[in-house]
Amino acid sequence: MRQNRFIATKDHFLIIAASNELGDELWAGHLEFRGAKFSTQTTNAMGFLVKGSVNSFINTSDQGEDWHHYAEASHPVMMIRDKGFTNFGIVSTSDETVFGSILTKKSVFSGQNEALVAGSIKHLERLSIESSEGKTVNVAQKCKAYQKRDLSTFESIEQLPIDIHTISDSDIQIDIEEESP
Amino acid sequence: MDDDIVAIKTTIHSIDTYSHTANITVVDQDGYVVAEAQNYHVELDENLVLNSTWLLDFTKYVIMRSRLDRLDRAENDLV
Repeated sequence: MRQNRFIATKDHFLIIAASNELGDELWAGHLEFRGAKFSTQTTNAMGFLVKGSVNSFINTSDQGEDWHHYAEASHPVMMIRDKGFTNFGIVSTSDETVFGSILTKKSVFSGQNEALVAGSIKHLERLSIESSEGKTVNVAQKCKAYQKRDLSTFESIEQLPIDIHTISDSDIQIDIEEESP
Repeated sequence: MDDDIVAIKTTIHSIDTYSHTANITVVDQDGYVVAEAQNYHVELDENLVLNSTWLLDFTKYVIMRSRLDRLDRAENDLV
């Protein structure tokens, strides 16, 4: 599964995605907001991988998904895309991966960035981030997601909602050293 | 079952049927020890055998909680 965390600093905004399973989607260019025709300028961001390894893909479709493999990467690595991350996809290829993105703080509440982060930020946190005080804001709510992607094609894999039963019975071995009397 | 492909291993070291407690170790798929020889209250069948359905749910619960905690810590290590 993936957990997102948001931190606003004096001038920048950090989006961090920590994953604990191979095949976790770390970033997928906000396909659900493609219809709003957000421009790539609104996601002019830098990405960084500080733990684990990933496969990355580029979506060549204007309407849906047509992913093509771009590159493999292992930490530590920094990614800068002059066309933004609108058509970029990243999937975890290790069991413990931490990926992050740095945005300018003034771009956070515009375009598809706003669509991505607004739902997780409380009203007072947003006011503090938008104020000119330049305070660091560590957004309290952490968004958890369970979205899998194929490691070689980036095709989306349908998942059950996150609960304990996403762990299969067959994945558990029980050893009883002492039987009850 | 082959140890090389088993993802999660739960070991019951001992069971006290009087107090309905058991000494249990749970190890996640990557060798991370979630619980090491800890005492838990357990559910027993009428014949005082550990209820297997409860044990599977118990294992899934402690593993899921551990994975969520580890996700939090992974981010805390960074910032």
